[in-house]
Amino acid sequence: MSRSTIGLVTEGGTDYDLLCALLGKWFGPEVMFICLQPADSSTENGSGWKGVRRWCQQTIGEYGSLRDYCDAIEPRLDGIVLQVDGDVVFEQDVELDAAFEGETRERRLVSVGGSKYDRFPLEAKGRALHALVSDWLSGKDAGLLALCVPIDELETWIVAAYDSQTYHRPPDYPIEALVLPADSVIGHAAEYHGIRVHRRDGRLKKNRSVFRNFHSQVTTEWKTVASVCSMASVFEDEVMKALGK
Amino acid sequence: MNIQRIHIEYFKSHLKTDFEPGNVNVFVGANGSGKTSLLEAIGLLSAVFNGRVDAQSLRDRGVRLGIPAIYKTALKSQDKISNMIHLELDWEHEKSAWEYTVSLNNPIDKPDPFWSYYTESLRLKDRSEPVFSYAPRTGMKYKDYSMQPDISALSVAAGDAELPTLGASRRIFGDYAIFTPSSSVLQGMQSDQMQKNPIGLSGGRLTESVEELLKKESGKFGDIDIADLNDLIDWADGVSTGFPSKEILSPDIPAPKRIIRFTDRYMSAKRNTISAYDASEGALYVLFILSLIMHDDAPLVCSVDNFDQGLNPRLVRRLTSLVCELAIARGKTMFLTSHNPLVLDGLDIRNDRIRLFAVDRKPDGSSIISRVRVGEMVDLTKDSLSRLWLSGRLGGMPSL
Repeated sequence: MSRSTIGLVTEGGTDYDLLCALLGKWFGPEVMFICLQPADSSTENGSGWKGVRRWCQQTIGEYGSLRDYCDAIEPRLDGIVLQVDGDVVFEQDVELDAAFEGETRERRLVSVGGSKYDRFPLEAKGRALHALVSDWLSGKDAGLLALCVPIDELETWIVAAYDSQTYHRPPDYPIEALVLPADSVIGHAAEYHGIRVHRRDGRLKKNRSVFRNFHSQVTTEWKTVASVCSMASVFEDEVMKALGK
Repeated sequence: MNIQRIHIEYFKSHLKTDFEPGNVNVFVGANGSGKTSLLEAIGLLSAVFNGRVDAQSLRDRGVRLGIPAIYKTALKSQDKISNMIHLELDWEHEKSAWEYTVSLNNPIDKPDPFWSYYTESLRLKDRSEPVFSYAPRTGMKYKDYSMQPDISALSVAAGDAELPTLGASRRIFGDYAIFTPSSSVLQGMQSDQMQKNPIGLSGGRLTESVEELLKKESGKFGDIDIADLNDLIDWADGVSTGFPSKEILSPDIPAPKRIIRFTDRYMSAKRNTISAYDASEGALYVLFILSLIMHDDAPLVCSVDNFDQGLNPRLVRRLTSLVCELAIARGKTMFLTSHNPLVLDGLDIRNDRIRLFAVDRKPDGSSIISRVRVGEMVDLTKDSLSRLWLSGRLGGMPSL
C-alpha cells in the first residue's frame, strides 16, 4: 500500500477502535491512524452523530474540501474513513433527502425470536445515509473518503461475527437490521461469548478495553460479516476504492 | 461535610481571599499566582481544627514549612504588616450550619514552635448565641476548660458531647492534606516522607491501596468497573498486585515487598507483565488519584497540587470528569490545581458542585480568586473551557 496515514471520523471510541482493527488487518502494520473525531467532548455535540456532522461542516467550512484538508494538516492524510450509525435517520433534526424521507424516517419494528428488527427498505436507507453524509460534506469528498454507515449500529457487525450461524433470523430480517444490538444482544447478559460486559442505567457500557476483545473475531470472520451485513460489504468496497491497496 | 465558604487574610499572597467551594474545585492560574498557597491556607485551617499549629501539624498536611515571616503577607503596598493570620470557615454538616473564625499569631522576630490563638469564635447559624467567642482569648474558658494559648478552642469544643456534629466535622476537616505525588514514590522505589493512611502525600502505599480496592471476583476497582480502569490505562489489559519477582524486576534496584503489575496488551503472552517501576508514570498517577478518591479511609476533604502531572491531555480530561463523578457520589470536597487546559474540559461547570476558579495577582501583588461561571462570556455551546482559558477570557493566564 502506498498510502500510510488514514484519518478516522467516528461517533465514538469503540467505533474508532473496531475500524482501526479492520483497516489494520487489510493494510498491514505500516498504516497509521489518526483520530479526527471524536476529539473534543467538552462542548455541546462533541461526540456521537452530531459530533460527526459538526466535524464535516466545520472542516468543509474551513478548508473547502476534504482534499484541501488532507493536504493541509500534518501528517498529511491519504484518506478519511467516516462512520455514522444508520440509526441517525430516526433523529428528528436530521434532514433526509425527500426521496428517502418516507421510506426511512420511521422505525417499523417487528419482533422475531425475542429480538427487535427494523423492517425497513434496506437499500433505500443505505442510499439515504450516503446522501446524508455527502450533504454534510457539501458533496466535496474528492474520492478520498470511505463511508462506514451500518444500517443500525456498528455493533451489528460484532453480532454477525459471533452469531451468524446460531442467531435466529429469518431471511427477511438480517442481523444488520437488529435494533440496538449493543443493548439487546451484546449487553443482554453479564458475558457475551465469554467476555465480561458491564451495564449502566440499563444500557451497555461501551468500555473500549472490553470491546477490544471482540476485534479479532470480527477481523477473522470478516467474510461472514460482509456476507451477512450488506453495509459491511459496501464499506469494504469503499475502503478499497478510496484508499486501495 | 459541605464547606460553604473559606476566607483567608494575611497568608502569603492572600491579603484577603474569599470563595465558596463546591465538591470539586479546580484552580488555574499563572505560576506564582497563589494556587498552592491557597491549598496551604486550607491546610493551616485544618491544623487549627486538629488543635495545635506547629511544624509537625503543618507538615502532616503537606504545607511547606516556613517561618512566620514567610507565612504572613508582606506586600510593598501594605501600610502595616499584620501580626495575625485570619481565617474563616463556614460549613454545614448533618443539617448543622457552622461559622468559625480564628486569628493566629507567631512573632516574626522570635518564632515559637507553636502558633498562638488570639481571637476565636464559633457559632451555629440558627442560634443567636455563639458556641464561644473570645477576643482576645487570653484567660478565657470553654465551660470548665481553661484555654491554652496554643490549643484551638474549636478542638476543645469538638469534644463536647452536646455538639456531636462539631466532633465529626473536626475529624473530617482535620484529616485534610495536600497530596503531591512523586514518580519515584509511586513506583515504590523511594519511601514516602509524608506518610498517611491509606495513601501517602507523595504517593506511598499506592500498592496497598490498589490491592484493597481491586476486587477481581466482582470485576470492580473501588466504585468503578475494572473495565473503566482499563479504559483509562489503555496500553494495559489489566492491573494486579503481587510479590516482586526477578522475571520482571531487576535485582539491581531496591524491591518493595509488594508491587503493582500491569499486563501490556501489545506484548506477547509470556513477556507482557511489567512492574510499576517500568510502567508509565501516567498509569501510576491514574491509580493514585482513583485510590485517593475511592478508598474508604482516604480523607473526605483534600487537595491535589498539579493534578495533571504526567498525564496526556485527553486522559486528564477523562480522568477529571471521572473524578468529579466519584467525588460528588462520595460527598468529597477536593481542591485541585492545574496548568493543563484539558482539565477544564473535564469539568461540567453547569453543575453547581463542580467549580472552576481563576487565580490572578492584582497590581499590588495580592492574589484574587474569581469563579468561572457559564454566561455570556462563557458560552460552552460555542467554545470549550480550554479554548476560553487559553484565549485569556477566563483569567488565570499570565500576560506573556
